[in-house]
Amino acid sequence: MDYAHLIHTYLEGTLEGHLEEVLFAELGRNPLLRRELTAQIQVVSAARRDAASITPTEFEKNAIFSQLGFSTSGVQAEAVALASTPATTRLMPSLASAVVMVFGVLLLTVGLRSDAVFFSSGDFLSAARGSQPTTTHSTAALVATETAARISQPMPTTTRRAAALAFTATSAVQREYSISAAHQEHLPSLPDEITPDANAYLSLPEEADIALTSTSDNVQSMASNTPSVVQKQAVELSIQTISSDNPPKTSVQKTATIVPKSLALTPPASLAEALPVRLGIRTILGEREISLHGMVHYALTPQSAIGFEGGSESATLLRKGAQGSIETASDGTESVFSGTAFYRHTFTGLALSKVIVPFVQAGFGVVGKCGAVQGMGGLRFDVLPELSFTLAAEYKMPVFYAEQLFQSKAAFSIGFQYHISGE
Amino acid sequence: MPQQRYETLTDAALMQEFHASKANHEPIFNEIYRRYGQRIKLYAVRVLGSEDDGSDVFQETFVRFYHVALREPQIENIGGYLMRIARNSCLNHKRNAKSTITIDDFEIAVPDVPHYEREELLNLIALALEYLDFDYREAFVLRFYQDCSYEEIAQLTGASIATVTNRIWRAKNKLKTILAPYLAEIAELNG
Repeated sequence: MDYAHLIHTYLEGTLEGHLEEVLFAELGRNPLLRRELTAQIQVVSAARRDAASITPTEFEKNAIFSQLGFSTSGVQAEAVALASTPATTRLMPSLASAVVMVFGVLLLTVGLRSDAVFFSSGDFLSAARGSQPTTTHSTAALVATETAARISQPMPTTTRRAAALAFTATSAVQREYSISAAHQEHLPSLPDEITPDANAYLSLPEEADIALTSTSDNVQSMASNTPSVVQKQAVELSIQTISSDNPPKTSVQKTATIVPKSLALTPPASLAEALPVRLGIRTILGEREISLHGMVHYALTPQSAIGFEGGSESATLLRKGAQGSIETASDGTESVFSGTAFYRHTFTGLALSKVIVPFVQAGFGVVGKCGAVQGMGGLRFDVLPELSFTLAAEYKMPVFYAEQLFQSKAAFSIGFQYHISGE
Repeated sequence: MPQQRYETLTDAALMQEFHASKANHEPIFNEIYRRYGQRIKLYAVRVLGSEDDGSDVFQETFVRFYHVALREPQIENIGGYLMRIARNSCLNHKRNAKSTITIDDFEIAVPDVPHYEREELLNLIALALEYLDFDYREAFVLRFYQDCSYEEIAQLTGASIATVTNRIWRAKNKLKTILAPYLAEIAELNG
């Protein structure tokens, strides 16, 4: 009698009564049959669990609705319901983001201007004369030293591979399909191997030893703590491990059929997902100055991005008095390097049209030897899928100076951004 | 009519509203998408064994349904209609796709199964499904992913209930064979 089939029929609820008794009697005697019962339950529960992981994406919904000439994602359809909602409630998430950002900039500004917190001397004028911010500086030095020591430590080959793999996983979570130069720099060089391009490991047969060595715990724990994309990669690696160490008995050709299939990556759903990096230039049109900046944006989500901009900026010089006091009168301008790290939030929900999107930006950085915070707000015009330009107003304030070069200043800027395609 | 009202309507009533005014098309289609989007996507992705192809079929299904709905005055069972469109699209994809290998064509030997996390073991089923023949895979997906009854599966696929029963059993048995080493691990994890 095929007891495995009886178990299946029982689990499906169609086993006849007398056969049920026979099955239960055998289950009581036979531990292998109990294992069969467990296995069948596991297969079904795995399927149900897998089913819960598949849901339509926003991209697919947008694609369907746009093909039918509807507004994307049924926005119009839900407008009826939204219309009865107070405007303050609808705009609350965006307003909250803006308030938090402004508050953060203010906090940073006030904090950095407080000599009691950031300068050990506690004397604002001494800071203006060029005293070093010892607390901040020493902390930064300590962090830098520790980081350098960690990077310079030799790591076993398998650990290095695991590290490279971890970077792949991180990039998958962030929907980034290329490893940034900064990430690669943090990986130690591998003299006897190829450059640690994390993506390359997905196609290396040697990766089998990742899952079979002690470092597999890292890979597994990484996968268990990350979204399904990463989990799938880890699972795929496991499959390939089995294939490469224990090739199928039939033929090599069949192995080759299996492995690439399991390693297929899901293509990006949109350009922004493909490679969320923007390059751009920005011209600041301020009082008596025109400055040119280059910038890189890295999108964390469709709404938020971090980035860096750097370039030449004309700073209005201040003259120092004989006693070290600062005169507020300007004394000409000087072109200096300006670099700012920033966070940008784009209010897609407040888009004036499909191509005009407001944004705010907050950042901090340096202008010459002077620290500065920057707040900016404006509009982005998406004239093409790859190209947009921005009009913005900004306010920049010196907060931290070895040598004060400029006063607080407001300016307008115009910028162009090119969205890098991942294809 | 507010979107919430549509959620309470039956499929037939929904289609009546759909034909009552063109202004209703978008909100009603939105409701249809909400009701059946996940089901169609699930079927397409797992039956075709490919996220890309499944996504294509999924989108194609809803677009085709909309055009059909414009012509059809009465559709009583929207879910069934969508499934039928999705199945036809999947069969078309299958015809154009390269033939896949079956479980009978290869063996997996795993002398030393490393310790995997439970989550990963459970996700292996998606990969294992790809190695089943279309008919078996479809029967398994409809039964255990979508909780369709044997009668519903027979109606959709045009096969007899006996055939459906046999396909489901064979599919489950094959998957169990593929996943056997990992299922043992799961059993150990569960104590």
